[in-house]
Amino acid sequence: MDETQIIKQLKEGNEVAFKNMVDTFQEKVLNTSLGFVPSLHDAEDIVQEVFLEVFRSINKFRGDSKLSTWIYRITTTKCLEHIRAKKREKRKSFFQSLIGMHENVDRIKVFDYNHPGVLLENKERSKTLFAAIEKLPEKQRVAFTLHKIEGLSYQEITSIMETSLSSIESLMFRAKKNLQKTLGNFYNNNNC
Amino acid sequence: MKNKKINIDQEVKTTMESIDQIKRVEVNPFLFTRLQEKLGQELEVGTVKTGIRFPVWQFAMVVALLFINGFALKELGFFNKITETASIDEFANEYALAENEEEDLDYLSLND
Repeated sequence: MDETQIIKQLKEGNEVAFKNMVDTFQEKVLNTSLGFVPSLHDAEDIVQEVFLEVFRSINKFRGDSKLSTWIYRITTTKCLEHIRAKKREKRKSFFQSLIGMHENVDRIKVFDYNHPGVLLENKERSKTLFAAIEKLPEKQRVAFTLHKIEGLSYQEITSIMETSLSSIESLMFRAKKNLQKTLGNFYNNNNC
Repeated sequence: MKNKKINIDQEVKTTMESIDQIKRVEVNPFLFTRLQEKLGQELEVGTVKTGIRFPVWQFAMVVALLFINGFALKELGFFNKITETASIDEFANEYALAENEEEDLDYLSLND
């Protein structure tokens, strides 16, 4: 069945088509979410949010891009929204701690690092890397995650981010440079 | 100092490469069931919301329409006409004009 027919069935509210779509994309959505939010619990929540959004917005989908591109775009947006919400929560707790409404601000983390795809021997290293990725500007972070973690080509990322190929190349270059700088500082401070 | 720099560069390189060793994660087999549950909840909430919101809107619309109608009638002088009619009736009664009219009608019917 071609994509146009799948989209048509989804727009008609066909439950089987919806299940097939979830089966096809759930693994991609989960792993992309884990790339942005390295916590299984949070990533699973995002996966559900993504498919709920697909269900709500399928009638607005004009078919200008591929269905996968559209789903990746929703995933990226949901992940960034989730990260922003967590950061807001952290800031709020920080201010509450200043006026004595919150006991211990150190306990508040944006994420509990829990990426099930990371090997045990690489856990500390990956944790350091994800902390460095978290410091990247949003666009660099999206391009880097989609390319390095999800393994998408620059061309696909161009469609998802709705930008030019040269912009993606530039974002990737700057992301790598920034990561090297952050990691360099980290290892330098930790007397490597 | 030089050794330290080499060490840091090596650490950075190894850390950057660790991203390639991340394994793909399998999806929880109950994900679709959970998703169905959430969809069900959402659809239910949607109905409840509609149930609550719609009468409120209806009530607001009725109030607004009544107000607009009242205002329009007032502007058209509808209430003034009633007063005028009342005063004409009073005038007719006062000068017994209504009775004469009835008599005229009786007269016409007798002639036919």
